[in-house]
Amino acid sequence: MKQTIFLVHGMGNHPEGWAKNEGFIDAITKAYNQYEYLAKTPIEQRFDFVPINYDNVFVNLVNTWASNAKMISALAGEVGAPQAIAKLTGWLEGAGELKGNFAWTHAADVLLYRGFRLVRERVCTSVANQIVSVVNKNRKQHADWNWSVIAHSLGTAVTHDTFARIGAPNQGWPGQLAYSAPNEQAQVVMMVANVSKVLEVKTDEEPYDAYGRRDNDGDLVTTLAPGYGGQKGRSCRYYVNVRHKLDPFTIPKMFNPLDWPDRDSLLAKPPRYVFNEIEHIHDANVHDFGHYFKNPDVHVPLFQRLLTPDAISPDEYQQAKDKFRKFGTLGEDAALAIRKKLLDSLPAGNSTWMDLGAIYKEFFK
Amino acid sequence: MRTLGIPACSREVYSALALVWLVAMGALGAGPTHAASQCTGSDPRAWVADTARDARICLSELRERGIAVCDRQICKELNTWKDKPRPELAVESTRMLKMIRDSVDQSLPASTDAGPKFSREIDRWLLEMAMSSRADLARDSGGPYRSEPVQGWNYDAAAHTLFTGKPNEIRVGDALERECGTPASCAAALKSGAEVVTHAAMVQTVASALLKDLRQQGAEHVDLLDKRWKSYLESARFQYPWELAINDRRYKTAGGGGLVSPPEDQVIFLHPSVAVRYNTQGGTRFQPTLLLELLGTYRWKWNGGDQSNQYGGSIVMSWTDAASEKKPGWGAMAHFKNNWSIGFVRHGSPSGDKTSLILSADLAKLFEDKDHVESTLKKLLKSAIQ
Repeated sequence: MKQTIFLVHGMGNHPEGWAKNEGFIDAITKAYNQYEYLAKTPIEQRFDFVPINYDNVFVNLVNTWASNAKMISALAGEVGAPQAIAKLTGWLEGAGELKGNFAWTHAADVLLYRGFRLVRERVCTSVANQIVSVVNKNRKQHADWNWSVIAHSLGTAVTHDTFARIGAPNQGWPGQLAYSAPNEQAQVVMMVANVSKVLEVKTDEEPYDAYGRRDNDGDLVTTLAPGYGGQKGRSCRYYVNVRHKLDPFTIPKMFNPLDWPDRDSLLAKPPRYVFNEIEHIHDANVHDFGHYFKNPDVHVPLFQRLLTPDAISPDEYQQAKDKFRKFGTLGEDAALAIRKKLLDSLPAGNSTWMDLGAIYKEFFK
Repeated sequence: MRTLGIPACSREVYSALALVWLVAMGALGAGPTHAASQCTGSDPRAWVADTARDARICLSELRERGIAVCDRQICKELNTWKDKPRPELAVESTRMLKMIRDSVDQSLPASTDAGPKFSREIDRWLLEMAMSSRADLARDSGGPYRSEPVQGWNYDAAAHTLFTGKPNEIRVGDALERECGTPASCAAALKSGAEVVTHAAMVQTVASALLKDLRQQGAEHVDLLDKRWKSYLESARFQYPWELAINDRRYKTAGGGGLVSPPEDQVIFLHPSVAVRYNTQGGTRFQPTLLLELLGTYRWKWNGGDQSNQYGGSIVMSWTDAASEKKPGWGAMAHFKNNWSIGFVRHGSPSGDKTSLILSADLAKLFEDKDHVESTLKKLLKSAIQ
């Protein structure tokens, strides 16, 4: 009985087939095959990868704006309408172009998601539907089937917000009992380049604080946090949080809670919450999922919690770390040059989500 | 030995050779005792392991295989039972739990604490069920038939524990560490662990099946909400970014969070679009027209995943390619279902004010393909001009 792993992409253009075409599954497979015990069983016999698609929400919006803007521009000149009308929509004409249009394919995703609740609800409902439909189908066959999530970048905020909505207490939706912890939990939620804190929304209507919030009794009510099997309010059993020290997107309001969610979770064997920071440089794009995933400190904690810590022994883990070259094939000089550039442009820790656009522009220039 | 053609040797030599062979086999990990860890057979009760690590890996693999590979009679009965409709499911759930409990008593040795702990957890649930009423069977919200945490019966193969955090916590990993000093005790501990994993999956099947209708209803609800949001943002009247901002600020829900339904109205503000004008006063009949909806509203009710009872209106300005007319025209439009709108604009001309009928469709929403939209519009404009 295969475990299902939902993959949640980040910002940018991710059409159908993205998980395969963009190398997500390849990166996971390559890491998996490094370990003797794991490699004995082909990864596709152990895991079903289910890519989650939500990029279509942004694409449909910007394409609609772009196509209408083009029609307006074409007609405005012919009918002698004031320039102001063409200007009103003219800036939207480029929205639908995907190539070389970083502002629209990347930064706009974050702006649309975080800036508009209507877009956020649309995205989270779509993601919830994709997850819930798979859970419903598989639970009919196998009560003991396990599922997990690996999310990257903007996908970490989307994952957090979706879990928060599914598990929100007292909302009274028909699936509340069936889909909330303690009746439904992910085995592992892995957050790669976690931006759920900087993008969190914590209002009365969207009480989705990234770390959770204290109730009247002082107890922590979490939105997405690990706990033991069947623990109320804990949507997963293990939470693996990884960031690259030079990844600028993870610095503003870094997801780095202390003593979270509770001491028992941290003292569990293996710990239910793990936070690993890495610093290898194999490429200038240290934010890239594949760049993250090749590091043993990223993939080993994941595999150990998906299966068992014995799947990769401490010796094997250490050997993998010893073998992992900090600068890959780049060479020290090139890697240090990248490191210097990244260090010089790291944002302030108190930057907000609105600064992310400038961070993107600086990082990808 | 002589009669078999084997050279005669002293008894001491043969004994020495046998001893060397035994030591060599022991060093290789094979030999006349039993093989190293073996957990590939279909029946985990026959598995053996030499070390705690191997035993844990065996249990992890058993967990991966799941209850689907359980070929015991009780598993077959569970498989049949779980597909029954809800009233029968609930009524028979106590019988299933008692069967599992009996199986636990038979399968888990008294020498370990796993059996008693497991049985106490089942007994707890049975007692809660026994204290409930017939009405609880029908309640959607739970009651003891549905309040048992399904994931509380999930064997955690990463930690090798069951009932984590509870007084009856079963620490299979610890038991294996203790017992795997000798192959025989390790095999016994592995067998015990395998029974814990298998029976946990059985009870999880019971707890999960009791929620299956709620799970289905939940999935249908999320699907319906998904259709509504898709309709709101992608197939209904589209909103420019500034309109989206206005309606976003207006959007309120009851509070407390959760999966919510989209709005049932939109404010329209400074919304340019393309329309067709029918000139009732002569001249070119159908003319492409640029419309600007200054202010308007559009309302509907959600009917399942679709919008229904759509209506609305806007105050509009219009521009048409007619040199003889004073620009712009002013008027009003009414909005209907399928994103169609109809209205009138009044515009001045040297021969006096004229009234024209305007017809607009949210063309970009009507078609999915952007290129199709443009080519359709061009055809529409061409036919209008001719």
